[in-house]
Amino acid sequence: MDEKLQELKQTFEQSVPTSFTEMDKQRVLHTIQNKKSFPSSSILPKVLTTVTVALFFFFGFFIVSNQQNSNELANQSSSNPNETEDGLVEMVGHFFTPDKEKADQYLLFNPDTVQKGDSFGFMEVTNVSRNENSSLAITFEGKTNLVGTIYDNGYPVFVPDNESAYNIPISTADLEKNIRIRFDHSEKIAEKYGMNVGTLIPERTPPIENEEITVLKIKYYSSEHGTFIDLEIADLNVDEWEYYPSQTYTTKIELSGELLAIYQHYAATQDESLLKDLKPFDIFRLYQHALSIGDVETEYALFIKGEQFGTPDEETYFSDPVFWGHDEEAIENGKKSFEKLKEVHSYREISLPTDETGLERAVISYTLPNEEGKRGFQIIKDPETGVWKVPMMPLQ
Amino acid sequence: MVRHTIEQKGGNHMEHTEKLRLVHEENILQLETMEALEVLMDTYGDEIKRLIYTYVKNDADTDDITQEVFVTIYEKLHTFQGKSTLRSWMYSIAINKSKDYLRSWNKRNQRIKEKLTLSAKNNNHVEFLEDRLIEQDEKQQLLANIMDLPLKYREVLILFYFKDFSTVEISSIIGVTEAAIRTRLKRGRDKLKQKLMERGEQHG
Repeated sequence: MDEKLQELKQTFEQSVPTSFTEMDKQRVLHTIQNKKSFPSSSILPKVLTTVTVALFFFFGFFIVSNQQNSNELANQSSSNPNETEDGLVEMVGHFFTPDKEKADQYLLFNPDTVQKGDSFGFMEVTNVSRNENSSLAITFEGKTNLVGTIYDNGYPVFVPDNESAYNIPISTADLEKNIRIRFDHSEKIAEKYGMNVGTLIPERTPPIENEEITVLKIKYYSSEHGTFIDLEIADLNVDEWEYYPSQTYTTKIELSGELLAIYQHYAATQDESLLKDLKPFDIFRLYQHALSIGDVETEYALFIKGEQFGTPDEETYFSDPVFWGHDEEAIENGKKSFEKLKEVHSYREISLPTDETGLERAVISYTLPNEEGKRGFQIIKDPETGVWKVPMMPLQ
Repeated sequence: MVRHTIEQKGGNHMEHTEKLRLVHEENILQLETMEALEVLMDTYGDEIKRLIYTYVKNDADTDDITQEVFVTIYEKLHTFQGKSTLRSWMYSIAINKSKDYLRSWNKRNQRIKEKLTLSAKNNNHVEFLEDRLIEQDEKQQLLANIMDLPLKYREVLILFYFKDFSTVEISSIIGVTEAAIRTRLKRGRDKLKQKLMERGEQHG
């Protein structure tokens, strides 16, 4: 394998389908020149906007006409998409184009008035954001089944069949326009359908027709440039952490300075207000410190309390150390796991989206040396105190 | 000559090339910043842009990140202290920017420009398709498998085998211990081997 890889170098450079062009170079130089000439100019944005808009329309003209040709090609071949010879149709793309004459059958919303809480079929609006440049982003959540064709367009795209098209919320302004429907976690979708997307092999998988998908979330985005919809579908085993907002900490796990002082104070008083301004990663470190010194009282104190979290009351917890996992053996294991953590120097604190219970949750993600895959340690914000705490079974 | 470990690289040709590169880099650093940037873009533009593509796997974002990387290089060049080679310093900027993009929340948002770029670049891609379809051999398959690997293996294999960095250099570029780099190289190769075997079974 080593030799094969060494022989591959030349092929690799030739195969990556991109190169640094004169235009790239000019873009860099222009950006720098602009930064230098107008460090904080109030005129520059306007000038740039004008130039950009002009360029956009200039290129847009070619692109739109190009795209129209492309769509014609796509339409011509749509009755028999497998017969394409050169992959051209698949590269062009597939869209969903709502028919104006059937306007009364679609789940139409008014882009100017749609708001959180509105319902469309089985989906409810959970977020609406409008930006200055008149773009609109809406999140719909719920559960709806759609049937349609999944195309390999370099990434998977979905075109609903006639019936399912009526179950996707669209704006009144979208009629007769091309809407591209894509997937969240598109790499996973591609994997599921055996598509070679994003790879250097330009094979295109034949369309998967009459495919039924269960959609849990629809992210709608429109602006003057077009409308896009991303579908989040159920039953997809994804490493969803990859895509959530996160912060990376490059540090040792051992406590020092202020955090150690907080630990000592908290261990002595169990005063929750000491934890008030701490981040999930700080709580993770406090908890690991408790494990490292076998401080079972503070370990318990750091657990999030309440029936819904499965944490027993203090008396129950301490009456049965074996059952609740703080006997001698468990304490030794805790110390051993801390020793392993000492070799980790980078942790990611990932903010998870609020779940149906309304709880704020975070995950501390890290990789132990010589271990395949990541570990995730969950931290939950106590809804009553606003303090981040540790659930009884934090490791995921 | 027996190689003690496969992670060691040698060879007079490579050493010679490396020396030339270092001399070249020293010369670049003597230049005025804008001139230096132009030379850097001419010398390393292609390889940096291709590297970025292997992370983000789409043209539109590759264009944007490449631009951002070279603007950053221009802005930070005066802070370069020569602790690593200029090339590996630029690689670490490109890799960090690419990873920032992959991590960013925005990545999950719909990207208008993708639609534009797909159409605009259609012709190039068709040429690429034709070339590649003619010689879709084992090498291409292996490359495709590399591109399919999880990022942590993919990046290490690419940097080591295709970009000629040593494990020590990779360690400093991506901020992971050298031992972990070696482990990833080994696991990456194992995963590739496994994929090729699976494919062989399917086709054989």
